[in-house]
Amino acid sequence: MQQLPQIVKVRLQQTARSEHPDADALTAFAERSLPNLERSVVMEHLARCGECREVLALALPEIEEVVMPALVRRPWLSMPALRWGAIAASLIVVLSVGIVRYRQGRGTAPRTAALMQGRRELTVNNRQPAVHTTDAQVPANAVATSALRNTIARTDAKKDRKTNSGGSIRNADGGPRLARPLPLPGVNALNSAPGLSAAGASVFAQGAQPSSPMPAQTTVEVASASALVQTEQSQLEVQQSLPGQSPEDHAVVARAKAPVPQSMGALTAASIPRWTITSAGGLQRSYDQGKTWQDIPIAAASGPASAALQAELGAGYARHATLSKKQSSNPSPLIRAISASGLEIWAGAAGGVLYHSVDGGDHWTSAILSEAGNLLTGDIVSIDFPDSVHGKLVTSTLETWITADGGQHWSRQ
Amino acid sequence: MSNPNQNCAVQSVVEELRAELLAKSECEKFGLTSESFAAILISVGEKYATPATSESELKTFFLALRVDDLALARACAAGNNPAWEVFLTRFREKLYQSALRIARQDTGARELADTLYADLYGTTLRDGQRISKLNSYSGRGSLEGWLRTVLAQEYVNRYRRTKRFVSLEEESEGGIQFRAPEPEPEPVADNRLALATDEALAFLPGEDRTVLSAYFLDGRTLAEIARMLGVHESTISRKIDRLAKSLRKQIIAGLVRRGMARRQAEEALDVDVRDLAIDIRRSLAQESLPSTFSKRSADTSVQAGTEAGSKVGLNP
Repeated sequence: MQQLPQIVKVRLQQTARSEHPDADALTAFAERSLPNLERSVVMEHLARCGECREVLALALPEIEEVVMPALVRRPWLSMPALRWGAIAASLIVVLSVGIVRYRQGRGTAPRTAALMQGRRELTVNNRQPAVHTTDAQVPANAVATSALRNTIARTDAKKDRKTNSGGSIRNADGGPRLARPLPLPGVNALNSAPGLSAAGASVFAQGAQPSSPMPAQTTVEVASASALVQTEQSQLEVQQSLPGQSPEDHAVVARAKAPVPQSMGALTAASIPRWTITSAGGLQRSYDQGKTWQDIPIAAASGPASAALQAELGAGYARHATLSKKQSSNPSPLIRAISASGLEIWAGAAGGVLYHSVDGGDHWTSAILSEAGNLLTGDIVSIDFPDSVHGKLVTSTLETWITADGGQHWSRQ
Repeated sequence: MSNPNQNCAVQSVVEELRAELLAKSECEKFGLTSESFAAILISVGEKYATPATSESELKTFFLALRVDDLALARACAAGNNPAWEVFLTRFREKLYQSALRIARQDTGARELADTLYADLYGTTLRDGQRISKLNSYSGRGSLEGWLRTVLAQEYVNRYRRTKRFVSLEEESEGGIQFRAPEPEPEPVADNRLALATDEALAFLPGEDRTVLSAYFLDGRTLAEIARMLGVHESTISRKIDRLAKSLRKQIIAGLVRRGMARRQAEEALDVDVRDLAIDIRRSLAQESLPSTFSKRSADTSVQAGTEAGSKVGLNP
């Protein structure tokens, strides 16, 4: 707002010499009911009479606040149910994030130590001759990815996870519970590396025993830098197999047993993808150590594996066909668990569909597991491949299915 | 208004509009006869009319009257109880609310409203008749607006009386009256600035000057001025900006015409702002020419900077 020079203000104070208008005239002036001539007379007086201006200002009617009911909106959060629901949802989200962070923090510390140790051991191992017997039969990257497995699944109890995971592996090793073989041509590549030892290479990034159908975690990240990861689980197994040795020795022996091919050195961080499951059940892959993530659509590629499965299933054929239709109509299955080892990925989805990829997620095959006509029920909530041939998955209905031939045949425990 | 011709003109117009005005006023409800209310209308018209007022203007005047409020007010002034009941029902609460808004405190508002009620009822007698302030209501505006205006006038008068009393008391306590009078400011040898300013202000229309005074002298807000004049707030804002710029230009032009260089004129306008230590708000309280005492107090308050305005001497 412009300012007046002081001299103007001073000269403006020249007072009125005319008679004050009466209350009638001032009222009529304020209500704009004076004729123009009379209004201008009153205005001239007001221009020079501060007292009448003050009376006029004081006599102004009070501003009536116009209430517009149409504009009065009730906030949606004012409803008690929504308000409390929002608070409860916020608490759940915060608690979930806290639990995930806490578990990641607990799981990262020992893994990080082992990781550093593993890197040192890996350097030593790389100088040694390869102990792998079938390196020549498989592509270098396949060997590298299947040499060590990093399996992730959802869990609620870490202790149960340890026990069950270890137990399942031993059972798988013993092989008495193997079901009748179910050929899965799509995963035959796994068999090209049969010599990979299971002992020290299995890694449980997350537990495998679900205590409830809907796990608390919503997003799980998988680091499939297989050769660089060593978990307490593998150490536990080493301790069991070599009770007489010190923990340090166990680790060394475990890594000595681990088939670390010469080609492992050629695997860079950029070539090894990391995987994560989004809260929406989608699958994401990162080639830059988690900086950027790429959505990996899992098209329901009912490949040869499915065909072979159908041929074997007999009674389960109809169900599998139906599910295949469902998958094809819904191109984005709800992924619940994933196991990644280099470029070989196992993913379990809601509805019990098992997906498999041997090329880092570019191509997928799907299958519904069945044994003697009994289909897998529920959602696959945990997949665990300690090595390239032995695997275990757990469903939301607490069924446990295992394989001892790289996923070609599965049996229910 | 003593012109018989004008009286005749008013009477004829009242007679012409009598039926319509009586129907609008519903004066019979308050015990006013047709003749008595016609006499009231004639007295109001004679007060308004001038020799230059035409018959059509008179008709417009009468048709614009708030005859219903006029009938109620005059019936109350005449002591009609049903009229008073209606009056109190309609205006008692509003009157108090207006008083509270004006006085800004409950005690002062009650006192203000009670004083007005006494005046409206007519506590003083003349020739055995109560003198009611409602007799001065002519119906040119609403009765409610008139009551607010009367309240405001009463408040301003009372405020001035109180201020004058407090001012004298405070000055005595502070020993100001014993202080040597401040030296009178040296008369400005070059009064071209004042002349140029007066010249520029003299050409201002009344509304523009009212706006400037209300904003810069009274400290009214744009919204208040807009409501006072019945225009939009943005209009007032634009008008103030425009007037301030144009006044500055005109004053500088006036100074240049009086032989001052343009730069010198601009400097004079600006230097004057720094040199003139005049408290505008306190000076505004002076309605007429200041006396020696009030001049001294005004100057004293100016020197004191932000001291309370109660130290300003006021004339009755």
